[in-house]
Parts: sequence; structure tokens; C-alpha cells
Amino acid sequence: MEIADQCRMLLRVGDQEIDINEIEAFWHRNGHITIDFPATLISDDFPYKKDLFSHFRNEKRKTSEYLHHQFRKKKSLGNYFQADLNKLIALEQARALSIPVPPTLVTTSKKTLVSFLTKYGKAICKPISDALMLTDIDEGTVAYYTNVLTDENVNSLGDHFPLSLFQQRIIKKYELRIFYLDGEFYSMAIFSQSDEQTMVDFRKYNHRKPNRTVPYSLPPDIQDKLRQLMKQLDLNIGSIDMAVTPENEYVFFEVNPVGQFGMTSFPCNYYLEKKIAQYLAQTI
Amino acid sequence: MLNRSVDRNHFRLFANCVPVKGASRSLICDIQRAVYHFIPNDLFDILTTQANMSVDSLLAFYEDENNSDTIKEYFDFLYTEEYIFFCTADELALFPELNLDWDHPSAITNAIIDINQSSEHDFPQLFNQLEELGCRALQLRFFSDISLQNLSEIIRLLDRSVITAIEILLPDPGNLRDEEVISLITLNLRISVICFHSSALTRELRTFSDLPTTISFSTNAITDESHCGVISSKYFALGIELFTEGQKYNTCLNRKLSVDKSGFIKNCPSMKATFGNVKTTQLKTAIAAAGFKDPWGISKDQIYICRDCEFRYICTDCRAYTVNNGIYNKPLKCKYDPYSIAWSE
Repeated sequence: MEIADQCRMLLRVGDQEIDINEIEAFWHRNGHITIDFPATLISDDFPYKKDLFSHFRNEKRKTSEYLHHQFRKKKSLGNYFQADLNKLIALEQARALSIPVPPTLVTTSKKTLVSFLTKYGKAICKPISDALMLTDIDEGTVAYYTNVLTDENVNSLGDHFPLSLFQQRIIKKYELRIFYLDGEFYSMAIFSQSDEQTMVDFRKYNHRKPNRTVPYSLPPDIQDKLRQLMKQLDLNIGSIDMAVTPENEYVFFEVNPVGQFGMTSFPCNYYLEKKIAQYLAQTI
Repeated sequence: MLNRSVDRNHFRLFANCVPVKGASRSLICDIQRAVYHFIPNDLFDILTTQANMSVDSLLAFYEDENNSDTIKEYFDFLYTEEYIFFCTADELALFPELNLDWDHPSAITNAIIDINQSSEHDFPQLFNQLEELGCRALQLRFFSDISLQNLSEIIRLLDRSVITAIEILLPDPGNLRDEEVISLITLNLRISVICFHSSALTRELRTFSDLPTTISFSTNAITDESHCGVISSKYFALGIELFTEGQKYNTCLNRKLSVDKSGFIKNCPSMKATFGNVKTTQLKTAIAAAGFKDPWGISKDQIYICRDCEFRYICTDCRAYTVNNGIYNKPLKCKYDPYSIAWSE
């Protein structure tokens, strides 16, 4: 990068050079830009090795910051700075907008959990961050998503356990996967409830007889609230998980700022890839 | 009906289960699960024109005609197969129909290249042009002998291509060892189908669970482009792409481009109209030429007889061989009659 008569920043991707000034819009789906440092060899007996590496890290951090500063000026889809959204913050904000959310508990204490269960009945347990994916050569990848907490589970717990998130189990009429793009909602209803396998988490796919997935028209009042939520979270794209209860309540679970859209777009024939392209191509 | 509670007195078809009416019977096309079911035309009417009636009022409506048992059976069938769900009147509007528009980012989605002993195709050139057009599926039809060695060289040109599926037809060189075929396919896993025609034997060799390719042998000799245009239930395909494309576009020719054995650019090698020769004309120039895209928009709904056929959105088409050579007539090689619902020999 160069800050002189003109400000210039060049990114090298493989053998291609991209001038940041020429980028008008970008879509951040996932990942981040790393700044490569040439390998630096320092002999082990150099007394300030640790300090020096820490200094290098800071140099890199500040350089990244400037890169982000450049990117913030561009039109973008997806929030590069909000890709690792906090589920708890999202729940709190949804609640503040009076969007129903499941009663939620984060604890390490069995005692607290038991009184939560006494109050709210059945609960589910899910990650506070992302799903844990464990890959085994023979078993393939095992993903830890959302599970119902059984009495057996609770009994087997010691007085304290690793930090865990519990939520009241919501009875669903159907689930909603809602793709949000620049103010518009593209919703899909998932009929996961007639199948034991997919009842708690539809991502435990039944490939033989897949859950019915059909387009859904989100009522305008729900749209308004969600639009506000997305605005507050500073997101112009994202995948929202909700469920409709038998009482017709729209319960918010989470929003994934880097959510996939193919799983909604293809079955509902929404052509979201085209809408994304059109958004980015619109003159700024 | 089984689980229908008092308040869920309405029904809705799942949007991806689309009823299609034929002259004498209808289909429910289950686009999501890729199956179809025949239904009588009265049930089609219930599912479409009477879709907003409550189940009770429907039963009452047909009570007068003493048909309510039949109606109950229909609903049991629809519910068991998960074609419908029961809901309240308020919920009906929350479940819109599936948007049946079709689009694709590529100028050309599929192409056929025919080759015989006199062909002088410049493959690197042709493939580059197809790449530029965004072509996704390619069929190579060899009418005369080609060695696996020469074929490999052609296939290798598509090592890093936007094409995702390659179908190859070629004469069986005879005495083929399985390993030779496998090594050809592993060269480029885009090969989805390889068919050895003019073979002494008919067999299907699909014992490799890790390969995505269908390998088959046929005793039929495919010596020119006339061996095409066959309509059969074997070729029915139920999926959202074909189903939506078939609503407004031709299910064979839309976004297709062909290069015949002599290098002429056509919609289909069996059709007469040519739009230049690859030796002198760029593919993109041919596509832009007047008339090239005309057959793209001939949908089944515009074709005599096909438009009365319940299979029209899951069927392939042929505009080269048609009854009395009429461009709006049904494919000559279709043996189905939607009025008598019979396939003739």
C-alpha cells in the first residue's frame, strides 16, 4: 500500500493483482483476508524474540485495520465486521423488539439448570458459538447441533459442567428459514415435525423422505420487526431461523450472518444468486 | 384426514407438488421428491378450482352426488403421500404457490458436437468458445471409430472447464478391458455417461460405486444424427429445473447449440437450418443470428397433442422429427396418446 500523492493498495491473489481502488462492491460470504509475512528466521538465543514477534503481530494488525478501513467505504453485502455475530446479543435484541425468543439459560451449574427445567419443562442444548464438527476417518464428520436434553442427560451431570446454553424446547408447527437481503425476505417453511429424525433439528436430514420445504409469506408485522432487528445488528444479508408454534407465535432462534442461501433458494425457486448479483451490480 | 383437528379444516398442496392436467387424467408432480402420481381429473379440479373450500364443505358438496367416500379416499391418499397438509383458513395465504419462472446465467447451457471420419473440428477452439458461453453440459457423439487414446486427448482439454457433465457416445472398439474404460473416466470425472454403441453385446457396467459415470453398451449402431428424438417414459425427468424450464421454453432446444459432423452450427444436428460453419463463424455470432433462438421458446403448451398431455413438464422434446414435419406438431417418435392414455408399439 502507498499513501502518497495517491492512495493505492494492491492485493495479490495467486498471480493476479487487484487494485483496491478498482473494487466498487464486494460480497463477504465467509473467511478473511490474511496478510502474509515473509518467513523470518531468528535464532533461538536472541533474547527479544518474543517481543519482536509480538511487535510483528501488532504491525500486521494495524495494516489489517487499514485494509478494513478501505473496505468499509465500499458497497458490500454481508458485514465483514459482524460475520461472527454473538447469538446471545441477537436474542437480547430480538426480545427488546418484542420478538418472542425461547427462554434461554447459560450456565455451568446443575442446580441452576434443574430449576430452569422445573420452570420451563423440556429444554434443548445448543452451542453458544458454532456447531462443533468432529471429523473421524471412519465415521466421517459428526456435527453437534441442537439436542433435546433428556432426564438421563441431566442425571448424568455432575454439579458443574462446561459452559452450556439451554433453551426451553419450543413446540413447532413448522420451522422457518428466512433469507434476508437488503430489506427483502425470502422465506421457506420446513415441515420437520412429522419426522422423529428432524423434529428437533431439521439439519439431521432424512434423505430418503426429505422434509417438505415450501415458500412461505412472512406476515408484514413479523417482517417489520425482523427488519428492525437486522438494522440494529448492522446486517444487510443473513439467514434467520424461526419457528411457528401451534399458537401461531413466531419464535426467533438465531440469525446467521454468513448463512447459506442455496437451501432456501433452490427449493423455493427464488433465484437468490441472481438477486445478489443484481444488488452488487446496481450503480453505487 | 387422519390427524385433521377441528380447526384445521382447510387443506393446501405443498407448493412443490404441482398438479398437471392431461386430456384424460392428471399427474401430481412431486418436484421435491422426484416422483409423480396419476390422479383422476376430478381430483385435479378439487385441488385447483376448489382449493379454497374447507374439507367439510367439500364433503358436503359431494355428499349430494354420493361421492363423499371417494373424496375421503382422495384426501387419505393425498395426506399419506404428504402431498397436502391441513391448516386453518387463515394459514392458506401464508403458503404461496411455487414460482415457476426459469432462468440461467449461461448463454448456452448445453451443446452437442457430432463427429465422424470426415469431421475437421478444432476442439480446443470449440471448447474455448463453449466455455465463454457458460455451457454446462456437453454431448460428444462419435459416429465412426475413435481410439480411446484420441478420445482421452479430447477429454483432457476439458480438465479445467465450466462444463459439469459430459456424455460420450462412441462405437465399441471391441475387446475393451474394464480398466481401460475406468482409466478414461478417471481422467475426467465430468464424464457422466459413456455409451459404446455398435457393440456385440448389451450390458451395463456400473460396478464402481465411487464413480459417478453410467457406462453402457448397446448393439444399436449410431451412425448419424437421425438416432435421436425418441420420447419415452424412460427419459422423463422430474426436477425443478426441467419443470420450470418446460413452462415457457422448449425442453430439448432451449439454450442448446449444436455443431454437426460437417461443422455447421445448428439448434440440433438433425435440423435443417444452419447458422454458419465453425470454420468461419464464431458460436456467439451464430447464436445472435436471426432465427437461432426461435425454437427455444416453443413450449409444450404450444405443441399440438403435447399440450393435452399430463407428462408435458417432465418430458423431453424433439423439434427435428415431428408429425408431418410441423414445427408445432408432437414428436414423431412419441408413442403416447394422452386421450386414450396408451403407449403404442
